[in-house]
Amino acid sequence: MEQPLLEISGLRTGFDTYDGKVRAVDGVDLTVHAGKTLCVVGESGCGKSVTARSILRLVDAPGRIEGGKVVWHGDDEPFDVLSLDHDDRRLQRLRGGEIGMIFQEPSASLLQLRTIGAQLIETIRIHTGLDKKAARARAIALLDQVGIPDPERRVDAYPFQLSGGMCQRAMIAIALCANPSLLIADEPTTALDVTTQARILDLIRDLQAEHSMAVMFITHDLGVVAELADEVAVMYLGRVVERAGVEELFADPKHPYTKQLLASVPVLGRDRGRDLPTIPGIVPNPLHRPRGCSFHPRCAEAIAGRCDVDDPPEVVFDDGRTAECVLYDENEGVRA
Amino acid sequence: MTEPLLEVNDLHVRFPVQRNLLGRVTVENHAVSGVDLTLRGGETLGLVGESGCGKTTLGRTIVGAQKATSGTIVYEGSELTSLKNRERGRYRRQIRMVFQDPFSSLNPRMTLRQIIGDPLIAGGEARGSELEDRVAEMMRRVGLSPDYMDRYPHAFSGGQRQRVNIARALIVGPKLVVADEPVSALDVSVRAQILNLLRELQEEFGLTYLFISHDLSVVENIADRVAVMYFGKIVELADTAELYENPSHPYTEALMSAVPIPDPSRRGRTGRVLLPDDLPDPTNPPPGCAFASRCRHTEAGRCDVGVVPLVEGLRCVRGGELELQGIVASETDA
Repeated sequence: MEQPLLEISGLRTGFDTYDGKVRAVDGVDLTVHAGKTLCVVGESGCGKSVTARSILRLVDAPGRIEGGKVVWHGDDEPFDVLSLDHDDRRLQRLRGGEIGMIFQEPSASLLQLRTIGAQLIETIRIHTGLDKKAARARAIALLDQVGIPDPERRVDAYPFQLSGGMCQRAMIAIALCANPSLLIADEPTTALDVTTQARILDLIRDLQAEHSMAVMFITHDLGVVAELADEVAVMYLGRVVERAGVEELFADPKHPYTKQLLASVPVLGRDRGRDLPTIPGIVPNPLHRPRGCSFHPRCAEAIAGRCDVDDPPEVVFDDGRTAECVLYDENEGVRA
Repeated sequence: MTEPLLEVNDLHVRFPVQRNLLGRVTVENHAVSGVDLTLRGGETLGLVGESGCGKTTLGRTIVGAQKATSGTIVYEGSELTSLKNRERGRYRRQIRMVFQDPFSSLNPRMTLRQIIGDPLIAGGEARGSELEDRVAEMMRRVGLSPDYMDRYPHAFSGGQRQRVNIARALIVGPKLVVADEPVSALDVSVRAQILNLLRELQEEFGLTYLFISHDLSVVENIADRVAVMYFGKIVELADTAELYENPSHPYTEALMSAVPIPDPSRRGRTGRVLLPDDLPDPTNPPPGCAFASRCRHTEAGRCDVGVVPLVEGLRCVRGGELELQGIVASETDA
């Protein structure tokens, strides 16, 4: 059995707005296993980024983490991240230490007026206590490791002097500086060209193998999921609607949302010139979440009188995969 | 063969980057550098390339939103680049643009009636109840309820706003629509809706599309022919099936091999071409092929000298010599 590294259960994060409360993350359960890659896939507004940020408690007002547990199984005793005080040493060690995080816009996440070396060295010194000289040497080694050519010179470059792909590499170097057990990557390649994306994905894969690091990778791109994931969680409107191993998910999607999403996205070599199956309607405004299953108004298999009334059950299948859908019998995990 | 609707000949667009004390331009960015392109009536020509390759600038120049530095654009026999603003007006109704970002391309202080009807009002073409009827008809046609006519854009989702964008482009009855990344900013679950809508409208109104995108899967789905742009130039142009299955330019091959395929059983497929980062400086293009610095087939003395011409849809001196890998059409699904 794989070792859980991070266990999220019943996580709820809401945003108070003038129009009411937006339940961005509404009871999410997720597990990241040591050394494995979990891809969280979903469309904008499904709560995937807020979930990731909630792990490190990086949710800004008016957002608020309202409930649930985020249990970290590090080297010491497991603890609930959400119950720690703000000044708890363990929280500080986690952020940027045991858990590294990278974001979508690399140039927006780096300070523009400091060299990437200065930003790297600062993080290295906080987490490792190395002196300036040693930290600089480590910074250069890290830049080399993430594939930045000529690192001795680039360490003194400013972010605006580097391309988007290079900035993302620098971000990865910063995230790696304390040898994290978990890397959280929030759409790290969305702003990049495909050729650059391919190389960043390669880099993440290599680094993961080298450091036996777990990765939680957040994306909307099913192609990226297929390339990278061991396990996949599909999110829709603040909930995880399906969890499965990557092979099973693509070969035999259970939740209607997953099925319809896989069919509607054009795939190279498959959909030349043909009308695509569509998912009708739009993602509902989270302020006006439909009753019952939140996907039912767009679902091809919705059952009137059930899906629009009751919350769907979470069905656990034999191999451990789950789906939140009434189409499967709650106890046996087969189609009712 | 169908008549060409639009012909672009040796088009150049340069942006000044630096001027000297006397105001003379000393450094220029060559965004479009010598593009030749023909659009046939009724077709969809996909234009793909990475950010900064000049594809948006080319699209904007065709609709007249950007001045050409040199070269010609011939639309149904009339040369457009030399026209004065006023004379150009007529063509502005025949060549329309749909923009990428449905959030910033609609005026938040105008209602849908004003946004969609604006081209009609500006042309003095319709007013009052006729205007309303035409706006309502167009809204229905793109899948929006005319009941929403007096609402503002903020009340709509990205997909619906993109429908508004399309309605605004089509209401004056254009022949050519330049669609610049029309689905890139949309949620994946609504992209298919917009792609299908564009296809339907093309059939109904006999439209010709120049479909600009960085997403090769989307372009394969919608385009009849595809032009690949790199560094301000077309490097390959062919029918969609031909280009995807048998690419002739090493850049096309690299671009396609980089697209992640949503099928875990094909993970780690052989032949992925990883490109190094060495993009040439756009203010100082190298001699020879602009892709030579990143190409694994570069031959010193052939690829890095002179000017590489576009011959039968291919700009590569090693054309025909190389064994390149395309996309294998999948047997399952479909």
